[in-house]
Amino acid sequence: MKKLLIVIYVLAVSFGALIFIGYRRTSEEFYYYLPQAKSYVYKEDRKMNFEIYSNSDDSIIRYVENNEFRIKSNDETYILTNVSVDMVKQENIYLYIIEADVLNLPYELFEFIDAQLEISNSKFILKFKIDFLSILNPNTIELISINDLFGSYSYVNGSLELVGLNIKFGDNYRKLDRISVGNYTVSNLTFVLDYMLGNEINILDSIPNYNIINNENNGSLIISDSSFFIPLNYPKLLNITEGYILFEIDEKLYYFDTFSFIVNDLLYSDYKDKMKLVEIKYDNN
Amino acid sequence: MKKVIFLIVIYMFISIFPIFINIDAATTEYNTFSEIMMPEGKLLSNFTNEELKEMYKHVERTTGWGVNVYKENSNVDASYISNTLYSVENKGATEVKYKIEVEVETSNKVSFNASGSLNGSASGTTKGGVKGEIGAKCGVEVSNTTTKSRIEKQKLEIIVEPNSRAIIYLTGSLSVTNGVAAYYVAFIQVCKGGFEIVTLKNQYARVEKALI
Repeated sequence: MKKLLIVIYVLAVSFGALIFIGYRRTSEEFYYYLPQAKSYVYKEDRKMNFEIYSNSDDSIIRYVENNEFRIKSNDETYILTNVSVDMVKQENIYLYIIEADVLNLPYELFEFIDAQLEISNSKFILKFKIDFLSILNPNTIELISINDLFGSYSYVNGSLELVGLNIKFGDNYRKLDRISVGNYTVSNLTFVLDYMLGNEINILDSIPNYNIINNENNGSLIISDSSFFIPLNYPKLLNITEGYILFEIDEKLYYFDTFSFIVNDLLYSDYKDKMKLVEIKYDNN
Repeated sequence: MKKVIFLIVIYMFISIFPIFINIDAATTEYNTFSEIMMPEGKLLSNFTNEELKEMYKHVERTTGWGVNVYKENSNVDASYISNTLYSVENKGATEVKYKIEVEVETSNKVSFNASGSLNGSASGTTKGGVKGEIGAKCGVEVSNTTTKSRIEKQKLEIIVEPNSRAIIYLTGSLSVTNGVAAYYVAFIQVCKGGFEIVTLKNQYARVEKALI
């Protein structure tokens, strides 16, 4: 009888443990992010944003007052201010959009490369990599006059990426030596077309030699009344949806203000292969 | 016998009732676009009465219960130009830097539009409603509730030359499925009309200047 009771007890404990493990597994939250190159022009009351995808529809990160949001880069920590978090349901996943004031930094042009965004609360610390973030606080760099501007996107390795800019310049400019979105992309001005392409293109139809990965700026462009398609290259392919544009024209730097090239919420399913898992450190005491 | 008839009447009433409520449930945001360019086929609003009559022949065959759908255009890719998001004019003699704020809705949306007596019936019910059934038969998920979308405010500074106008608008791609549908309850045609499902795929911003 005693043996039977022990067996029943062991079975009950094992069963309970199995249920508990199963529950923990199903209730485990996961977070993903899409590696992106982000760039903003600093002005007071401007916002920057970061996107995180999660299986949780009620993540603690929604409750701003319970979290601290900071960027860590090398030994520096930058606390994000006026943070708000919005959530949008996307198919079977939830997109959290973290919006905060653009950092006011004492530099005209500052770049975070491989920095980290940390969100800490009583439950966990989320750490995710900011692959590239640049902030332009224009002082000597002048605003450019552009008569027409929009981006062209093409599928690269299965996902839609910004591959070029369609531009018609203002009258005051002569020679373009460099153009870059967020000071991240590089320009190959030898492949410029003197007409515009569409929003969604197959870049190889127009420029068969195009290779999105390239490190160096090449060539220059004599600016005329024409409209141009200027292809963009990336040192490492990172998704770009918005950003400022930096120009080197007639040996002077100009910028076009932060602009959205594409205004969709990026669907997790469309970029699934490129999503990276966010590191979670539980028991944050 | 009376009880049975009474129960059948009650059952039919309960079944039909939900399709007559929430008339404004159909969302037709794409109707506000200034232009939709379809390489083939046309939009529901451009169908003539004769064309609709011809299409109705495909849905006259009664189905016991549910929606009978005929697709004239199925997932036809098209492009669009939205209305102007922002417009600013400089009528002066010198260039001006304008600080502008643009609001853009960033969501992937499915819009449903209907005509004829179907228009008042394309509402949401717990089972998906007429709208949901038509969507299912067309292979498009049409939500009964308004999809939450995000309004993104973007502030930017732009130079506008003398006698020029700068505008910001959206262009993009969408897909169109349209045709006609008839809804049957116990072999009785309750309503019929044209329908259109428009799925917004991508939205791209464009800034453009022109002389006044």
